[in-house]
Amino acid sequence: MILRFRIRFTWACFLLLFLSGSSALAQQDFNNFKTLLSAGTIPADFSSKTSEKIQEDLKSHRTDLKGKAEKVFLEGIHYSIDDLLHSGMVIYGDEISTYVTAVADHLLEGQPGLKSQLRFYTIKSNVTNAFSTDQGIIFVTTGLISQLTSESQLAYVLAHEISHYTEKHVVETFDWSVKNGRKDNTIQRLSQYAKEKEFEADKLGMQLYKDAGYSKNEVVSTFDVLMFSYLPFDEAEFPKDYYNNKHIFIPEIFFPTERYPIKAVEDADDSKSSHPNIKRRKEAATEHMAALSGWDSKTDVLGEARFRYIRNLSRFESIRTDIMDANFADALYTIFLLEKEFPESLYLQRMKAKAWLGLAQFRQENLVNRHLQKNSDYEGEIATVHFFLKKLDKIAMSAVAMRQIEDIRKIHPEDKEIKAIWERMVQTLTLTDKFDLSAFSTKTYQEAEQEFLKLHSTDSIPKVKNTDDTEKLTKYEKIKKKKEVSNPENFNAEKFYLYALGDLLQSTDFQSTYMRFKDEKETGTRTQETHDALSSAERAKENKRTEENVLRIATTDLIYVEPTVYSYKNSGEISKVKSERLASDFSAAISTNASDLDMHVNTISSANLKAIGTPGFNERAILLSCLMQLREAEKTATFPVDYELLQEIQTNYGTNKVLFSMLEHSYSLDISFSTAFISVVFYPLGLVVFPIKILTGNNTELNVVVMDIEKGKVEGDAYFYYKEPLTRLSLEAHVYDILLQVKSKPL
Amino acid sequence: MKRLIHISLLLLCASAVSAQNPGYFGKKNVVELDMVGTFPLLSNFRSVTWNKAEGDHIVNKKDYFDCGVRLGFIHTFRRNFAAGIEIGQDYFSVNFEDYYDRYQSDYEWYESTNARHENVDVRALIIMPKVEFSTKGGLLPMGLSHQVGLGVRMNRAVDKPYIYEQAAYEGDGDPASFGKTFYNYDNKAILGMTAMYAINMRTPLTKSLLLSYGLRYTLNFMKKTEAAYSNIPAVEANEVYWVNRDEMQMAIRSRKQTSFILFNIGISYAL
Repeated sequence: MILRFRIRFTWACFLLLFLSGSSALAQQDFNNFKTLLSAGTIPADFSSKTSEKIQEDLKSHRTDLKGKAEKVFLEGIHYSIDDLLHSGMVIYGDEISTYVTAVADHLLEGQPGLKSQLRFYTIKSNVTNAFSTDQGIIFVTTGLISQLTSESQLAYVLAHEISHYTEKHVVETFDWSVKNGRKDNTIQRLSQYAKEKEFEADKLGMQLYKDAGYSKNEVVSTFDVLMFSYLPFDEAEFPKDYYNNKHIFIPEIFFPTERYPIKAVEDADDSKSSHPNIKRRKEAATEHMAALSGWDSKTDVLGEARFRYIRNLSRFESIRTDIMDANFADALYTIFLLEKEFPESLYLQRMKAKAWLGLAQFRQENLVNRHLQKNSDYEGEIATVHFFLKKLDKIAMSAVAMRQIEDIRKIHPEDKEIKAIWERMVQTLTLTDKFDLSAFSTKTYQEAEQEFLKLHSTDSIPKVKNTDDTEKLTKYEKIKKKKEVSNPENFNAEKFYLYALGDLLQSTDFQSTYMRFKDEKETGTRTQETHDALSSAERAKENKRTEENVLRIATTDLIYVEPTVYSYKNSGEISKVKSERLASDFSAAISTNASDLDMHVNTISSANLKAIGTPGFNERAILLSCLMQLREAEKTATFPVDYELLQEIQTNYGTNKVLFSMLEHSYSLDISFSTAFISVVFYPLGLVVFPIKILTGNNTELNVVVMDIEKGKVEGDAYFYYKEPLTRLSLEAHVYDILLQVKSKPL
Repeated sequence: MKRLIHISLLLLCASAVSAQNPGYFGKKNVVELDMVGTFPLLSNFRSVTWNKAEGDHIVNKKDYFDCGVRLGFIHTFRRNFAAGIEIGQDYFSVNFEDYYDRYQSDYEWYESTNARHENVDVRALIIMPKVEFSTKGGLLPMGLSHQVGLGVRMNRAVDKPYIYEQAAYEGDGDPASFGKTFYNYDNKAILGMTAMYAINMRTPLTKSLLLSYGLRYTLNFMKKTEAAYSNIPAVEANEVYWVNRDEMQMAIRSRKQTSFILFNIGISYAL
């Protein structure tokens, strides 16, 4: 059950990451923050097969459900939770999970039996959420921790979730749905039922919370945290001159003139919600608090310093999550907030550089507005950042991004990661539509503005009217002059970015890097032009060749991450059991064929977590997050958010090529009633139609992506569509084909 | 015929420069042995005189199943394109109408069955070059394929001791006596053409063997002859035969024109 949720997790999605680390429990230095990784021995929740968990629960009859309902329930919860556990978003044994466990231990001090049944894991997600499962797992998101103001608030959230578990609310709600699922107004009645469970968990949780000695003053504020959790963790004003320095000046016209009020209300309509609105929860909580006596006044049992440290971990982590999700504006605002406390943080600088690079890349591909708030959604101080970024066109965004990254590089000239981002940014400049370096000025904005003002001041008018030289110019020279940015008359505040790269224009390093990428682009353009000049037959042949080369990357070394598999039943539902089997067959086929083809494939799969342990689990999570970041970016070669960790993986395995895959299979006869009727009436037609339908009923789609984790881009991407039954051997044959292509040189 | 084989060989040679051609576990050639069968339902509708031997008697009973075999060689040129040739034999039988005798009684003519001959078995040798296509991501020879072929059929009546029955004599003449004079089995093969579309599935059994099954839709073409069916014996090769070559051709033509759906099942060996 979920304390509060705004976004439903999509189990099917490839998600985020983490890594190994025996030293993960050592305190983090926020100036050199590293993303949180799992630590310690891998728990059985992660390493056991889902089918084994289901069988075990069926044998022990863990629930009171009977027959098919029990099986459906157990399959549902185990497969969905295991999908989450293996998504790469969940970490165990890390500092946050350890802290959450410690708070829970304090809550359950007098209940060792219950304590031993529960496990606490952290989800790297910016959604503010916590939920418990019927299996006894309680998940807490980094988004929740980053918003809290005290340990006691976390304790209340945990007490609420523990109550859901002890009262078996998950299974009860399932049972209720089975018994009432087909009646009228199901949604409203289910909503009502779920809300009753929430009130019950609030009430029972409060008892647990009180018994642990926490202060009653923190209960109501916990609901405030939940209500405003969609906003950043602070509401600090974003200064309009935040980005200004001696190289860049952003005029005020690029910032909003108004403040955007917070719109959240306590008394929201909750008629279809699984949770009561905040007003009702606060009222009920206040009533329960008054009924309880003997309150203590602790806000922190484990210490305020530790709470703040853990919260900062979550806040630092949230920037990474935002960049992965391409929420660059949110990331920049969070960096702005954290920079005040951690001005020397290299991590914040790296993330800022990645955010700006991402903005320039996404703007170029017209993707950025998807990740910026709509004008109607502007709320709070963060709206200033969204407003500003929305005002920047492609050239402006690229120029500002280049400026920001250059400034960061000047602070950390030796940092390899920042250098790599800088290079990618220079490349992005050359790829930006209509970007022309000659249009930029070596003057600063202020210098250009001064010259312009001087030109237009009363005193200077006669001087400017000295037009002897101007009059001698030809029409075309005059036009050129009007377009020259160095001409003081052409100064335009809206084109502030044309004065933002002055120092770079004089930098040989920048110039040579820029020309190198420009040459690369022009070579590509020439190749395209040559291609366009071909006859249609030659073009078709060339296209065919390109198509055939999509997976030919001539490598014998690969890292392989298990496929995402969906095998659909006739009803359209996913058969988790068959999907699990197919994934296992696919991995076995990779292993067998790699050996036959003399290839060296390192398998990092959820199926062999017992063997690869925590280091492998972390590596897998990092690779999945890399893929997820790529998916968000579509065609753009985004800079990997975990650049350093990917470099480590590359060093460990001696290859930078990672094979990802996704397999979908279904069987559908697809015979409509009218087809069947006509075929029966016109009997010979049936002899043709039915056999064809039966033979062609299988549909298999296989997507394969080979990623270069060093460059952070897709090296090969192929899609296959088959119409045959998916057997172990047929899968093996297709895998053979894929590996053979990967091994082959381009034609 | 020679030309067809020649074209097929040329196609095979072209494989040496083929582009993307992964094959089945790297194996691009396939030898396959298939059994084909059909239920000649439409032929049954059209014909009423099916004379089948049952012991030493002839009974009026329809054919419910025709069969044949195919031996094929396929080479995959691309992942979704293959070509090859198949050679096979079909077995079926053709029927001829009963022979009548006319007699006059009370100044009126009557007809009565004089004799009937068992259906004549026909063996058709088929040589057919064919091409195979699959979906874009296909991996021939494995999986679902669409096959198109055009080949020749050489039909030859089988010489064997057929049985025939003579009716009770009711007229003035002698009852018909066929014996070896029913058809000249030494006649040259009767040629025809077959166009085929097949939808076929090859499912892997091992890394070399595949189970092949599917349906074939065929159109059989044979030249129409001028000869109308006659119960008057014709002279061929200085011998008198009841059924001449043209009549046999028309009987085969009629039979194969109404046989257009076949199923096939067999084994493919990838090498």
